[in-house]
Amino acid sequence: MPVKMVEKEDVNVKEVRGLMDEIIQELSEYLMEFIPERMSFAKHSVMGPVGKLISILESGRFENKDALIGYVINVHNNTSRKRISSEGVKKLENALSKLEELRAKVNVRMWVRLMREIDYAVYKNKMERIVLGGDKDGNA
Amino acid sequence: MEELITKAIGVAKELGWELIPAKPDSRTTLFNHIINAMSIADRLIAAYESYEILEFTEHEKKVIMGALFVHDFSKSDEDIAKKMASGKLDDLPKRLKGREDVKKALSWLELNENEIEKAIDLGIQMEYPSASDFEEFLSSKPVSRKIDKILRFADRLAGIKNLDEVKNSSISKLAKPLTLEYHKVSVVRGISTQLLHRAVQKVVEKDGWIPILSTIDGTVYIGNGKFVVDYDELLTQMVNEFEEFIDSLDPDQIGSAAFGSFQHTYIKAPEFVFLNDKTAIAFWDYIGSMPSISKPKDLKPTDKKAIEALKTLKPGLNISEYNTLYKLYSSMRYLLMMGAAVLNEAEKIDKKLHEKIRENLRNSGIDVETLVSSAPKHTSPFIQVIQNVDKFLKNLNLDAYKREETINKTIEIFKKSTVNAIKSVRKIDLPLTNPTTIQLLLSELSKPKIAGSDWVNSYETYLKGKKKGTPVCPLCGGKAAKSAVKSLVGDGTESFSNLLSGGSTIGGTNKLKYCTVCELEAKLRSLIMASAEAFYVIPQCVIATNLNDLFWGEAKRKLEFSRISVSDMPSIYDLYSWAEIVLDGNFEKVSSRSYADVFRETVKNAKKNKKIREAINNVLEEYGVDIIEFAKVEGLNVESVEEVVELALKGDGKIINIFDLEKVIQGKKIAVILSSNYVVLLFERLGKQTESETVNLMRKLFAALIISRMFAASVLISEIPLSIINIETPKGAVSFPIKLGVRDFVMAYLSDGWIPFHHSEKLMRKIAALLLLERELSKLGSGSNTLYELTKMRSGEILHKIVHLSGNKMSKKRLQEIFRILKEVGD
Repeated sequence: MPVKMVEKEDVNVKEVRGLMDEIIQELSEYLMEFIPERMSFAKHSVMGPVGKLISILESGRFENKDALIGYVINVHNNTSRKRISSEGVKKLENALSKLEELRAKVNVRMWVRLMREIDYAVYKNKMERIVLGGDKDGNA
Repeated sequence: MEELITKAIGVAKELGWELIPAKPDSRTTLFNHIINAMSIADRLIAAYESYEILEFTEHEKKVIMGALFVHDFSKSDEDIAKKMASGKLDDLPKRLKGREDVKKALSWLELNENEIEKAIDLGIQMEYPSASDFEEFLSSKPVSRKIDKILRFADRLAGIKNLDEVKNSSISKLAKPLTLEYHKVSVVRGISTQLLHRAVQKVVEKDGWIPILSTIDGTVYIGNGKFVVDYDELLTQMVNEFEEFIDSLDPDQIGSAAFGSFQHTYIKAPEFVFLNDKTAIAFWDYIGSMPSISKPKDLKPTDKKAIEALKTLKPGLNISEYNTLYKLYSSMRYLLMMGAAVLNEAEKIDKKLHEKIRENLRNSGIDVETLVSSAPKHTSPFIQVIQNVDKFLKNLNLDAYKREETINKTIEIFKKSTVNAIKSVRKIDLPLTNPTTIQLLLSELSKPKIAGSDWVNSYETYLKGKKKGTPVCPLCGGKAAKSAVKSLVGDGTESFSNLLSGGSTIGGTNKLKYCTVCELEAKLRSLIMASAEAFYVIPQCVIATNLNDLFWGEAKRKLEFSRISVSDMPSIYDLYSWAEIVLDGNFEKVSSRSYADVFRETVKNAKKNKKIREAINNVLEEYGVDIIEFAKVEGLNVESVEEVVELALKGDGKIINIFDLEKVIQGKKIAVILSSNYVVLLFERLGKQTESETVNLMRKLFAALIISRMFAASVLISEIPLSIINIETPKGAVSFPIKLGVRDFVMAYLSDGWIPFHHSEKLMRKIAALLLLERELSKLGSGSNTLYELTKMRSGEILHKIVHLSGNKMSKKRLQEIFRILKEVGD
């Protein structure tokens, strides 16, 4: 079997930019209701369940969307001062659907790259909320 | 009209015309086009008046200037500017936007009501009206032909892209009854080409031709009669230019520039030693001040060979005595090396000079033959150094234990022998002004062709090849003649080049070879600054007139002064402070401050600046009471020394000159070499030596953007400081070698290899943000390549890196500041 030396990027990032922005938006909005028990600026603490979600998605360990949502809800309820709301769950579901859509469009290499991008974008949004205001409980 | 144009510069800046393209190709800004047109008109008026062809009243001149100032006013409309920048505007509107606005702008130039009305009418008539403008166009008053001629001529000339265009019939028709001519060079090298431009201009001006416009590669003249350059006259003028240039430099600077290195070529520019007695003194003083001679290192237990040599030749001494001797022999090794090198170089330059130095040395008791034959080298074993130095000391009865005295006496002998020899030889034919080299430089003048110039066929030389070195110069492709000297041309003298003869191995004595003209350029630069970085600053405005000196004189002073940071005007080396200024939106305010303003403030703070105060005291001590007399002659009303000091502290310009305070203020070096065609800016490396070339390039790019904005000029960053530069009409603010590392980062801002003026602000803000983030990360222990890494990161990633490196402990205030900066980076 011939060795595949170069993997062609069959999708231009610009084409999925809109979808990416929507995912970032949904995840960021969901994350606003996550208030860790002990607040710090550590990425782990800031990202909470979304950090876990992204690392799972990046490695491709979950096949089932509902199982993944259940896992995130569980993490949220065990680590946040406030339990997840039904709106939060909805946002998560929306984000996951869009992530599925995105996964279907891109190859593995680009998927990993995009996950990294989503990760840092959500982190920045949450930090911005903490630092520049709007998140009364999330002050570090 | 100088005052009016100076006012126009201020008003145009105020209106923000520096960022608005003048044409859809974004090549130049509205600011540059307008100021250029006004300056050219000023020159044209002077030319027609001096030839007694046309005469203009003060009123007419003001109207012309006013009309030129407003003739492209419509382009200042923001929407139009945007469309032009994106190249989407096919049909340029010619309509003056809002007569009231235009009137207001003209009133800032202090034109009276009548002049303003006339200027606006003329401005309308200069452009072809679109349908909506017809009413205004038809109602405008008729204009005299002479005024119309100057307006159209100036506007047309301000828009030329290259010099050849001036011969187009549409332009030359406008010049009648005078004619337009130009000189042009084929290669731009830096200082030497500047001298060539100057020389040609002076020769041509003698025949009555008036320079009206300069570009990087030539100058346009207006005049009458034949446009010819006499070869012999030009050659003489070139030699004069070189001599004048060298005379303008400080002898100390020239003397020290002669030295190469103790490891490679000892004397890199021997002609500088023998230029005159002052440079010879400066050379030997510089050698005496070298740490290897004045402060040799102590003997270490690890210097086994030296210890063994000392014990063998000087048995039975204690450690302290061995240390004293070791230091003496170390210093003397280099001193004798230099003594022999001076003799050696003198022989190559002038036999008579060489003979005189030998004679003088002999008279001082030195055995010249031994000095030449057995002077130690850098690589000589220490045992040999001791033997040679001992022989030398014995002849002169010098004591090895009195190190300082022995060294000083030796330097004195060498100095006296060289100085007296120079004085006794009437005229030394120095290689720097060697006619052959200058002839080669003259052959780079492509227009007008000069009779008698001898072209060297590089191609033939290349085909024939050479056994050693490169057959053609790797910098310019000329005929290679001189082996490269590292201290002159920089690193890479033993690096592979495609120009090497097939099968030859580079290294050892087989170094790259350069042509004599490139070597000359390297020597001229080393006179000013050794191993400097270079920017070519191409004036986009006021390149046309006598205003050049006014504008660029100020720019030169500001740039030279920018080697240090004063009050709120940071040094060009302090890029972080500039980054703060850019992001705080204070760039315009700070960069438009006049040199006088900045300097006055510095002197005001002189109480804090010990060096300035010391300098004043030194001058007072040197002149004593006479300083009062001197100050009075200079027109200052002072009665006591205290008053002088007080005036100086207040920042009085004359006092500053008397006290020569500028030189006192130490800092990093920066050199500005002016000509009406372009400016060569030499400076030290920005940032740390250990940084990658990509990071260094980003710093240079930021500095270039600052300079470009500050002086409304195009800046060309040369990849190899000494290489010749591509002659092209500047197409924007900055052009630079696009290294792979910065490619992705700058691609979005590039157009035709240049960063256009309207993009320069955005890129400047982005790099400013990255610089401030880099500073933040460096404080937290990030590596030297951080600036480059930041270009590859998303803002969230940068934020995480900062927070993470701070140990997740940062104040909210600090984080808020970081978010402010991150906004500029974007996603």
